[in-house]
Amino acid sequence: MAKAVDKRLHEALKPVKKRILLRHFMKYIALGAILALIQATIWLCASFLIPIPYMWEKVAVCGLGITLISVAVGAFHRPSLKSVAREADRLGLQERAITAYERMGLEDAFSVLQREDAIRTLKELDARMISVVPPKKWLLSVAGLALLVILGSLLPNPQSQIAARQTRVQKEIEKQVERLQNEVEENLAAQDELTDEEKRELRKLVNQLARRLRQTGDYKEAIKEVSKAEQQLTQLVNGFRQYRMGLVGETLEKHLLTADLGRATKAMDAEWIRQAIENLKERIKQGNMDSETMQSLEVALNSAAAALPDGSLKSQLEKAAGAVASAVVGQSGDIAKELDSLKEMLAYMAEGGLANPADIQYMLQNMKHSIAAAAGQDIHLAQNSRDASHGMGSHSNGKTNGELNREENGQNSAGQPAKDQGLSGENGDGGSSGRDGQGSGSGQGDGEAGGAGNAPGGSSSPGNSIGTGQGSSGVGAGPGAGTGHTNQDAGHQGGSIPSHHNIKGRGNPDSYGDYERIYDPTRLGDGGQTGHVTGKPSGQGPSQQVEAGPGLGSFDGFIPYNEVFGSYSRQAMQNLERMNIPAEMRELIKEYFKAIE
Amino acid sequence: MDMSINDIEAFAQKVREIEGEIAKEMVGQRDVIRQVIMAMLAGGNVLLEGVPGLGKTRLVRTISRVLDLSFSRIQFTPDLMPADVVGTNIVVRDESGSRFEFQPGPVFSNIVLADEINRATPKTQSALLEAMQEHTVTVGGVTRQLPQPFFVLATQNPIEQEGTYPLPEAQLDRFMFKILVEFPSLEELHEIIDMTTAGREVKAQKVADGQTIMRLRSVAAAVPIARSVQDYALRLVLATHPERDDAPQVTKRYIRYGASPRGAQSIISTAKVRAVMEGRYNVSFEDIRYVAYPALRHRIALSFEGMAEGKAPDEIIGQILSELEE
Repeated sequence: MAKAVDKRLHEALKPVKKRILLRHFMKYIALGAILALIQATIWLCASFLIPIPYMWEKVAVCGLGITLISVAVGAFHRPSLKSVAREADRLGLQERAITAYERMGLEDAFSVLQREDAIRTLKELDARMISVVPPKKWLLSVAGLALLVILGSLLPNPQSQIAARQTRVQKEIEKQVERLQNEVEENLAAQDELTDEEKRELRKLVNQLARRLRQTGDYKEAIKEVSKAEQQLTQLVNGFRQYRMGLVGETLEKHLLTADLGRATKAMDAEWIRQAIENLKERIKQGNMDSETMQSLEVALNSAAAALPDGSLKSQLEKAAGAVASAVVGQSGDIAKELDSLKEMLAYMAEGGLANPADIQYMLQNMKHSIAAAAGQDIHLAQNSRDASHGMGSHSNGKTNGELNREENGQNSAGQPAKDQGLSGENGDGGSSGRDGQGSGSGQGDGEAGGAGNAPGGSSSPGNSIGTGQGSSGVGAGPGAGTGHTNQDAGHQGGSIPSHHNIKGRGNPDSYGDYERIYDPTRLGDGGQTGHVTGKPSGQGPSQQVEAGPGLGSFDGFIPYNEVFGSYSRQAMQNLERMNIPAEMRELIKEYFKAIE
Repeated sequence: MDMSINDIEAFAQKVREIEGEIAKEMVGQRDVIRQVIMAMLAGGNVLLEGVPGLGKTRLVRTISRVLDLSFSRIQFTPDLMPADVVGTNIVVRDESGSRFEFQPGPVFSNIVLADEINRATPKTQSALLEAMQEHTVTVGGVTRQLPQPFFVLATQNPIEQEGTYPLPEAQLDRFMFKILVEFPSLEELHEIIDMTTAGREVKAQKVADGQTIMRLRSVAAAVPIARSVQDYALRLVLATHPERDDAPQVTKRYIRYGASPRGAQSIISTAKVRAVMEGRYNVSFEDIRYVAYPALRHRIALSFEGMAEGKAPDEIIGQILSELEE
């Protein structure tokens, strides 16, 4: 009986309860909105001080989160039936509801009468009298804060462009990282030159780079990370190369006939390798090899092939061994041709073969360009500040890796610059693989500490010049670069004034230490004159043609020296007047500009 | 005592009858009548304060007639002795000889009108203390029970201070209500004049008796009160104490000492009566607010600042109520 009566009281309170619950949640939503708008205001204020990428997205997410938390708190602190009864009483029930609630279960005459009275009054009550609108003060706060946020968002914000750039960079990084991972995965799957372990190493490198890139928000940092990855890749690839050459060298060294070739291979000296194979060829040609010696040669080559993991070098060694074996049994076989191919392959490996496994190097360079472009920067500018500390010329030229260089195939005629644009020139091996007369050789100054810049041109054109760098206090310096084309970077001048050109006067980002970067044509002359190596396809040996696109970027930021010299000279003279520079230095600077005029 | 739904429902009806009947003889003073009935049904005594000629005595007489209760009127004067109030032992001679026999005083009535109570000496005033609180009288070592229901209705004149003895706090505290009898309005005066000078006086009829009153009292005592409402009443009483840290500023400034627990009892018990009189079966905050004035105004003592600024207790109570959260 009591339970039934209590149930009736509950039923009578239900409409009021619903309304009060609605009001309760509206109140918490309003509270959430106030807190969300406060956090939006804080974000907005902060955005005037620091660039905040995806600020409105963050504001929205945080705001939504805060509102949801507020509602959750509201759900946790739902009004009890007792408080609902008290609320109902405030609508003129004169404490009937709360008294009835407190006397639930009692069956004395007064309790019964009182409960009936309460139920009757509750039923007559129009629950819509309970306003669900949050308190006026709260609504005013919401309106005020919303207005503040709207007005704040309309104010010109100097940081918004930076933030937008960061946003673009982050998006680009994400896109590039995804692309890199996918393409590397695809390329590695198709790659048969590398062992599984090597593929794992490369994947690890790429994944580490991806992780680091995702953590950075700054394009300069991102480019730095990519450059770091490039260096790591180079080291890794050198390791692969050394491993292979070491295996081959050690095996060949054990055989008397191929001992010289083995030593040359171990030393990874391309010229020595060529010479050693030429010697072998010569001996075979002269016919002063008996069948036993020939068999010994075959065994040596086969042993070397057996020591190697699968790949083109192994295959070539086997082919050469096969040709020697054919000759032993009197069959016709082109030993010379196979040995030539082997020679080229070993020389290629010695000079930097496998430099771009799975096109990773290419993709990394592309990535740097894309990130810099997303930041609205030229890659060279982006790199300059970083490279300055390494003494590296950012405008090295020619291809930075052999793979890309192969595209030229001798199409460059003398006097015409190679059309490719080198990027970082960190490796100094541009054009290194210019086999078969590919004339795209280009030199560069590798201005690393102690910087021995070498710039082997096309291999078939013995006109390579080897630029020697002279390092000074860890700053790459001196006349790196020789033959090739557009060799505009010559490292630094004895570690003092770097020889970077200043692109379109973009100012301080190019500054290095206390000095501004200037275009220093005299540096170019020090290490060898700019020139072009004429290459002709020999038609011999394996070659690979790669259809080159428009290049990895553009040099649109590059301005010829004579166009900027005047303004630089003027500016230097003005600065001489304005700045506190020792007298002897003034003279030196004046002389310098006079000399390069 | 068992109480049926009929008893409860009859309560409001009976009270309305009593009220209506008294109103036949009393022009205006609706609130005074209601408050007197409330105090009476809550089992308390009433101190009526008002200038002479406002019908205080008439009210008491009417009540006694309507309720069919015995009635005594004691005119308090400075030479009135306690024995004149409570009675005394006198020597009685009869066939069996002489002996002392207790001669009951006028206090031995259901309704005692202590007219101009502040004119008597404190000694005489205090003769009423036991009667008012314990409903007993002790004379010559013998305690005698007063007839039930017992109800003291005292009056005092707020104007004349000469030759008066203000009631001590202990005695004031024993009055459940102190009711202020206001001067009637013009319309009410017309009606009073018409009624009393044109011979159109109407006699109130008896509508209840002592037993009914006792039953109504027991019904009133059982009216439910929610914890929050009771809490409100008690917080109200506590708010009249200036020594409390959480006391309102008005209390700290204008009150010397606050209401006693009897004040809280008075508020709750009279609020219960009012609830049923209003046709409700529970006490509301409004009931508490209504009875707070007559129940507390004589229980708070104004500080020097309060008196100097001419603050009325009602004003202070009003301010406390406005600051007190439900």
